[in-house]
Amino acid sequence: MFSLTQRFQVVSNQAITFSLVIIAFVVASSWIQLLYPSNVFQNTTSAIANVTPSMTLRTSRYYGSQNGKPKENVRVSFDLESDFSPLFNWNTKQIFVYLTANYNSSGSINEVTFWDDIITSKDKALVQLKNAKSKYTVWDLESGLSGKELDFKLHWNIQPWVGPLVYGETDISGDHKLTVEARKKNTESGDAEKVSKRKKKRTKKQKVN
Amino acid sequence: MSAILDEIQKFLVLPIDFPSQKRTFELQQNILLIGAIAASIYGFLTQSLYNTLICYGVTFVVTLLLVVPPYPFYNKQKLQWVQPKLATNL
Repeated sequence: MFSLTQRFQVVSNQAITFSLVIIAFVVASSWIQLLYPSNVFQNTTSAIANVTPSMTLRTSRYYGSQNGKPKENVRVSFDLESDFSPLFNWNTKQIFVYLTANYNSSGSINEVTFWDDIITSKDKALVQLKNAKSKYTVWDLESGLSGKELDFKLHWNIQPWVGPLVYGETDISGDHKLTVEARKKNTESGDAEKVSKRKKKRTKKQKVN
Repeated sequence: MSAILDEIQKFLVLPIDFPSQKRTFELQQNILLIGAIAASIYGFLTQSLYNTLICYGVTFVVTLLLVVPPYPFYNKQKLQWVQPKLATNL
């Protein structure tokens, strides 16, 4: 504390040390607020309804097609209702909400994301969707998705101002299990024919060019 | 150029006396501790991290203003050095 610079350094060091204490308090208190008065890890509910899949065949590599073989791409439309306002406290920056589906794929369980959203404030924490379209188109890496049973789940992820991310899953109600209808064999071949025709056309065009 | 910088550095030492050094150290520690606790509680009650930040920032600035400048009352108890005696019996 002898000279000017020493005094300045001591004060800033002390301030930084105590700011770590403040950060620890903020993180701990926000975790406690997630558990009391109500445990958001168990009591966050959501309701899903009217899940209807729509399947298309894509031949682009960007949609999972390999060697020109058409790939089954599934999109869904759904109604969703959930209230995420209990997840907001003084350490919540935003909440990432995502709708996933589990299905069995040759022995292992796959989890794919159909839709997600970022909730930035408590005013927007009430999610009420009618006939919403999935953001992402989904395909299975190995085989097709037809005939698979999708089990939908709604997850949330709190992104705090300070501290680690907090993950959780809502208690989903409603008809959240869905079996993707198997495509009929003849239509499949028909689709394949269409696709091959389209391909031929494209190659012709390229030759002309 | 470096000579001028040395001059400025010598001027900016601005020392304070020994008892004040001890006092300012304890003072800044106590103010910052109280400020940190107050900022945490105030922010928690208003549920706003912004308030915590402002409150703690004000505390920091106040501490700097109280402790860093060499006020005259930090320099009242200067060490009295022994005066050199003239050597008489050589």
